[in-house]
Amino acid sequence: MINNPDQIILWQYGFVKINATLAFTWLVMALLTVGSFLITRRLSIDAPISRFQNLLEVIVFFVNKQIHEIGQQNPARYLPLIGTLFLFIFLSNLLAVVPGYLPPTGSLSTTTALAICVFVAVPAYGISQVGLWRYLKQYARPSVFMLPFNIIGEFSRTLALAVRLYGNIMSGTVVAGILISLTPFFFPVVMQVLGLLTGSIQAYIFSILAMVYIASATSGDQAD
Amino acid sequence: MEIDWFTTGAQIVNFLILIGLLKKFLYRPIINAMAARERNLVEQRQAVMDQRAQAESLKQQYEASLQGLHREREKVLSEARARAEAEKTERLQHLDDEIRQKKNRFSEQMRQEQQELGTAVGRAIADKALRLGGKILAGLADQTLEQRIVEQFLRQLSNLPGPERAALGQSRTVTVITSFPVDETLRQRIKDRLNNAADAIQFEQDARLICGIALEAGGRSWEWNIERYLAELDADLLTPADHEQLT
Repeated sequence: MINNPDQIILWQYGFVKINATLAFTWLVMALLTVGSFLITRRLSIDAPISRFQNLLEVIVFFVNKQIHEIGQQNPARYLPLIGTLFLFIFLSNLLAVVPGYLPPTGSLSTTTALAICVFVAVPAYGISQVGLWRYLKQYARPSVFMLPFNIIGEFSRTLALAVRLYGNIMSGTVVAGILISLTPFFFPVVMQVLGLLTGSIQAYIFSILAMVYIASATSGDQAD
Repeated sequence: MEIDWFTTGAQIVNFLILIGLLKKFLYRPIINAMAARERNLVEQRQAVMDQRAQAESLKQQYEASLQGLHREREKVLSEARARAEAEKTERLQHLDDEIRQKKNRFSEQMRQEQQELGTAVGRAIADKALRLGGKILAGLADQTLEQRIVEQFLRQLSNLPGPERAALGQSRTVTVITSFPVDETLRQRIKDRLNNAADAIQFEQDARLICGIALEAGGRSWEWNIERYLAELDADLLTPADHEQLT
């Protein structure tokens, strides 16, 4: 039983290969992009608005609100990163109910890639917001002796981000696969539904944690 | 649990591309639409507030105008009432005068008609009375009455004033006119009384004299008859006092 989509190679030329992770990622990207394009090409400014536009507005409003509550800043700068993280992970996990679909988030490569994006985005936002020196000073808080621990913490939380998401999604897939082989009736469906809940929560957690890290990096002036 | 670093790199690229795509096709249009709707709502709210304020202002203006109109109406109505009252009083006064004048004219007309009617009635009554009296007296006339009439006439002649008696005495011809035939005895008495005054005495009879006797001499005439009394009665009946008593 293959639970890692990275191992499903669809096409390979040298070290360049297209596996199921990439294929399903493109599928999710295509769904998000085309769906957004179809909905937003006919946006209505005046009421009444279409239900899909309403759905997108609710999502964007919800993400904006979460960003604002956590960061206490204008959410416009962080919306593309945080919103895309949430939507990508959420839709990737949601499609797990489709037979034959393997969520890209069940691949450690994907979660690592997302974690690396956050790992890079946090200092990028922090430096652009508070400046390089003030950002670097945060690692020496509360004292310079904490510098190694803060640096280790920076890496470890990135690792934790990747492994947490990967573990949750992969475990859900593994559990579903095992249950299908053992009791292929009714019980796997319950676990799939539970997997949907877990996937939604993980999407929320990943996005919120990313925003928390960014918020802590961009609030260096307040810490001073 | 192993990491495929090519896939990781590709996923990083995919994620960055997805950020760009969603930024273009999702976040920007949705944010713009929401901002536009918010602006619209603010503008609409402002427009509603402006319209409400305008409506409130208009309402106050209309109320003020309405109150002014009410006051104007009351003023016009009171003036119209006063004019109507004055007109009514004037017309009533005019009608009163007209009625009074008509009443006076009517009263005068009535009085004249009553007077004329009284006169006509009196005249008719007098005429009837005269005719009736004449008939009665004519019917009653006999020798004794004729004798008394002659004697009465002769007494009057005796009591004539001096100038008239002188004029009668100077007349040569005397004509005695009676309504009844005079017998010889009476003729003789008349002659005796007038003998010393007249040369010739003629006797004539005229039925128009009602129970009377007349004497004409020297262009003058003296008479006594019932007709004179009846004429006096006629005159008495036709006096206004008698008319008022009649009406």
